Formats: sequence, structure tokens, C-alpha cells
Amino acid sequence: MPSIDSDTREVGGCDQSRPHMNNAGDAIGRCHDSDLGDAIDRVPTEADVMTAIADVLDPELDEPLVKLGFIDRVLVESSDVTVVFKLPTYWCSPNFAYLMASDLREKVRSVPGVHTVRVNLLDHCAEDEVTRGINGGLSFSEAFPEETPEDEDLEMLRRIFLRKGFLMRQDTLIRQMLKMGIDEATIITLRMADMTIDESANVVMVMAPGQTVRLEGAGRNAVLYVHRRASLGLPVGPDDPLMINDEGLPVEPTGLREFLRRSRSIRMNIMFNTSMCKGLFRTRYENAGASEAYPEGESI
Amino acid sequence: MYRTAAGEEIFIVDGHSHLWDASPANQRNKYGRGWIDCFYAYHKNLSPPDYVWTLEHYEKYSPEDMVHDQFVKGYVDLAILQPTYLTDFYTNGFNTIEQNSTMKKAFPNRYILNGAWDPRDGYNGLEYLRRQKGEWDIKGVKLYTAEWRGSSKGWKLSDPDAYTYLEECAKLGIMNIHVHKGPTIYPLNRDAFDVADVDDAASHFTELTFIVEHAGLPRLEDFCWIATQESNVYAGLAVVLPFIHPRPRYFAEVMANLLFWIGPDKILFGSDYAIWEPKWLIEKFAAFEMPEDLKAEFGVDMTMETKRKILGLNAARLYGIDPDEHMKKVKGDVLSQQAEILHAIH
Repeated sequence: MPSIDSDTREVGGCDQSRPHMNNAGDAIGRCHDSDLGDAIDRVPTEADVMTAIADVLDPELDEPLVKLGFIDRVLVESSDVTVVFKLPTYWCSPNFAYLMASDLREKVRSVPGVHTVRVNLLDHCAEDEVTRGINGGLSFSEAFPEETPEDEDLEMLRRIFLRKGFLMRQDTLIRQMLKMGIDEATIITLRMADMTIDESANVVMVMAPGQTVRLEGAGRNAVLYVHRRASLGLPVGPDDPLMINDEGLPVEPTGLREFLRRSRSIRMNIMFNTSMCKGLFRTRYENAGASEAYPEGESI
Repeated sequence: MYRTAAGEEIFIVDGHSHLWDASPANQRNKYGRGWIDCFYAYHKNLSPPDYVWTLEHYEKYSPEDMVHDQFVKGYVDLAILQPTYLTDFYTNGFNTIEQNSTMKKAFPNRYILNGAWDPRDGYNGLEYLRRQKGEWDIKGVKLYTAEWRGSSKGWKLSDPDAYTYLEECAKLGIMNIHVHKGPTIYPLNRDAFDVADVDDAASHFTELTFIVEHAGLPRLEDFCWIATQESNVYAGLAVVLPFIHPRPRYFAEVMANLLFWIGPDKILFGSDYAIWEPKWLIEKFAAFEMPEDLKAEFGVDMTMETKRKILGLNAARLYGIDPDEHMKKVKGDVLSQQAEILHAIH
């Protein structure tokens, strides 16, 4: 779950019950467990940590770090957790690295029984700045004062990429519908309630006027579409249009082609990053060449 | 000159190539190491197995290797040398005009030598630009907006100091401005690879041509928007083209977009040698067919005429080269002879 709204909130009294953190930024912790005694006694496991960070996304790739293989290792020593992560190149943008590191830290802090969290970035041109900044509780602009405009906001950046992820998934969904013979005029009249998703079977059922269409292989994408849409604060009620632009407005009656042309380039943008970065990661850490880095069948 | 299976001849200009020195002896710090390692990953990541070099060879190859790979083995008729200085990472620079001029001096008919400037160099930089014009009569420059210079991690074409340099280019007749706008690497947090500043500069300097290398990938939609607005903005295919091997569908989609938005007259082939070798790129490109669904959706195709433009005619036009005249000049030179022999055997 991308943490757009997960700004740390103080919970009254909670921090006093928790041992003091070693980092300034950690002094006030979040309290997630109603039973504080249990939270303190419980010893976190590596599996707890992996579960907690399972949904942390690479913002550009719109995929979880765990799934991408970017988590190098998780070390748990009683209540102290260290997460080590690495990226496809030495030069990956530090702001994206910072965003990921910050999300990792937040997620691990929410695991019951965890007292201190360290997040370390490996093999990167700004590894020291990122690691030091994150563990010292600094904001991105504090960690990179020379090169960040004061108004630069990682939250804004996160939103830009969530929006792209939303449009990409919508683009895929529309194309799946077109392919199965639902016409453009029908697609733009569909409501959220007209779509039923079976995630485990990876299937979507579309109840269009006079026909029910089964979209094989569309379920997981559709789940992410709805998820990203909700994350952006866009309407997901049963009567809301199924296809909306990134401002929440319905698609113009004759505008689906134009709409698709735009969302196609956004989808391609993410696909480029995803295939390039996955490939580079495998080349860098698994010594893979082009044929291994781009396994057959992986297509856009 | 590339000959298709049907016997058609295609004039080839490699719009983007380098003679670099990234050997450990020239690496100034860990960034020099990190730079070439990253380049090597790009190389290995997209090249077919037969074209993957050893890291040692990749760090420093000879001028002889380079002409062989381009003109003997690789079908190229004329190549443009694009410098990348990186003097903060490499003691003698990574790939300066002085390094590239080795090639120009040895094979004057085969190379176009481009220069470079950096607005942070102030007055001395302007003098250096004039010297490059005087000494080598450069017709183009390659700009790298994400280059580190002390604490500065990049600059923009829309910076006032950059305008001073662009004015100087127009005055000196340096009309082709190649700008690296490519995959997300440090420091995107200052948007050094954002293409928006090209829009600004291109609409201000309408007499200059801006060739956006790597077509601004992955931000293709931003690039297409700008290139559609400004008639003097072109796309360089370096980095784009190698995807033709591992990800042909992705490549097809990029080409469909470029052809739809900016058309076949404003796209330039470039191998980015030595990141990739021109031979396999040209062979695959010449044989490439646009998938039917993309033809239908975008109303574009990759005809032989379009391929000719991209592979050579567009760059020739920008650099005032007459392909027939050029072929007369190089026909019978030692590289042409070696190429004839090599390709006759295969």
C-alpha cells in the first residue's frame, strides 16, 4: 500500500510506553498495537519485516521492491532491524532512492516489537547521503541541501508516479476490453459496478448492456487499477464511471482514442523503466546478458 | 553502405559515437568507476551475446578497433563524434574533443567532429568554444546537462548563461545542438534530464536545430509534445534502438509514437558506440517491420524510404553532406576495401 496518507501521526501517550529510539526522528513512534505490553515483549521476525515491506513500491516502476529483488537482506537482532537495499544502477536518482528508503523505514517501524530501524542503501553514488539522511530522520532536502529546491516535496513526486501507475493500468484495462470486442462508446458508459474482479483467477467480468464479457488475464491489473485510483483519492463508488482521467473527470464521448494515445505513452514510459531497470539489475547482480535479463514471454 | 537482402543500398550516418578512455589509470575517483560500470551494464544488458565485450576492452579500445567496428564491420559511411567530458570523474576527461580528434585526424573523410560547452565555464568556456570552431570548424555540439562540476550537479538549457552560449553557436554557425536527455540517472531531482528546457531554448533559437539524444526516454510523451510544438526539435535514436533486440515490441511502440508525432524526417540513427556496435543495430533496423496493429492505430509504417531517412539522409541534411559526393570520396579508401572483402566473405 503506497503510503500517501501515512504521515506519521502522534498517538497520545504511545511514545512514552516505548523505549527511546536512537535516532532523533524516531523519538516519537507510532503506536499500532492496542496492547502495548505485547508490542514490547514480542520479538519481530524476518518474516514479519518482509510482510511489512511487501508493498513498498519503486515509484518509477510501480512495482514492489521485494518483488523486484531490490531488498538485499533483512537483519533482525532482537528488536533492532536493518534493511539493506540495492538498485539497478550506481546512478539511480537519489530522490527515488530516498523515497523508497523512507517508505521502508516507516513500514518497519510499524512492526510490533521493533525498536530501532536502520535502512542502508548499497552500491550507489549517494549511498552515504541517503543512508545517513534516512537514519538521522532528515527530510530529502535536508539530506541533499545543495541540490534540492526548498519546495521540492517527495510527496508530490510520489503522487506523480501514482498517477502514472493509475493511467497505465487503465490503459491496459481499456485495451483488454477493446480486444474482447467491447466498443469504445460502451466502454466510456461503464460504471465501477459493471466490473467484477476475480483476482485469484486473474479474470474480470464486464457487464455491458446486453452482454457480459469475460476478460482473461485482466484480474490482477484491474485490482491494481482500483487500488491506485483509490490511493489518488479518485472516486471508486459503484456508480462512478469506470474510466476517468487523472483528475477524476469522465472521458469525453468521442475522446477514447485520444485518451488512449496519451495513456499509451505513459504506460510505455513505465514499461521502459521497468524493463530497463529489471534488466540492468539482473546484469549488475546476476551477471545476466540480454537473453536472460529479458526472459521470453515478458512482453508489453 | 548497407545492402539489403534485396540488393538495395542504404547510406549510413552513425549520428552518435565516442572514443573514450575509462581505464582505471584515467579514473579520478569512485565515480569514474561507477560511470563505466553503469555503461557496461547498458552494453551487456541490450547487446546480443556475440557483441558483448570484456570490461577491460570496453574501458579502453583503440582507434583501430573503432574504425573497424564502424566502417569495416558495421556498414557505416560517416560517423559523428560526440564528446562527453566528465572531467570530475576522469583525469584526462572521459571523451573530450581532443580525444575524439584522434579519429578525425586519422580518417578525415569518415568523421564529423562535434564540440561541447558547459555554461558553468563562463568566459573561458566561450573562448574554448571559439577555439573549437577555429581549430576544427565544428558544425555541432553535444551538451550533457547532468554533468557534475564541483558541487553543481547539472544545468539547464534555459539558464541565462546557456543562452549566451547558444547565441554564440548561432553566431559561429554551429547549428546542430545535440542534447543528452535520457534514462533516469543522477541527478533527476534537479530535473537535469527533463526535456522542458529544450522547449524553451528551441522556441527562442529557431535558427538552431536541437537533436534530443535518446528521445528523452523514458519520458517519451514529454518529448513528443515538445517536438510537435517546435519544428526544430529532432530525435536521436541512441539507446532507443538497442531495444530492438531484447524488446522488439517496445521498440515498435516507440517508433510508432515518434513517426506519428514528429514524422520520418526528424529522427536520426546513432549507435552510441562503444555502448553498442552499429552492425547488429543496422541489420535489425533494416529488417524491422512495424506490427500490423500499430500501423492501424497510428497510421504509420517503417518503409524502406523511412529507414533510409533515419539511417543517413536526415543527418546528412543537417550536416550539409551530399551522400553521393560523400560516397565518391570514401569509395576505394582502405576501410571501404576492407568492408568489401569482409562482407563478400559473409
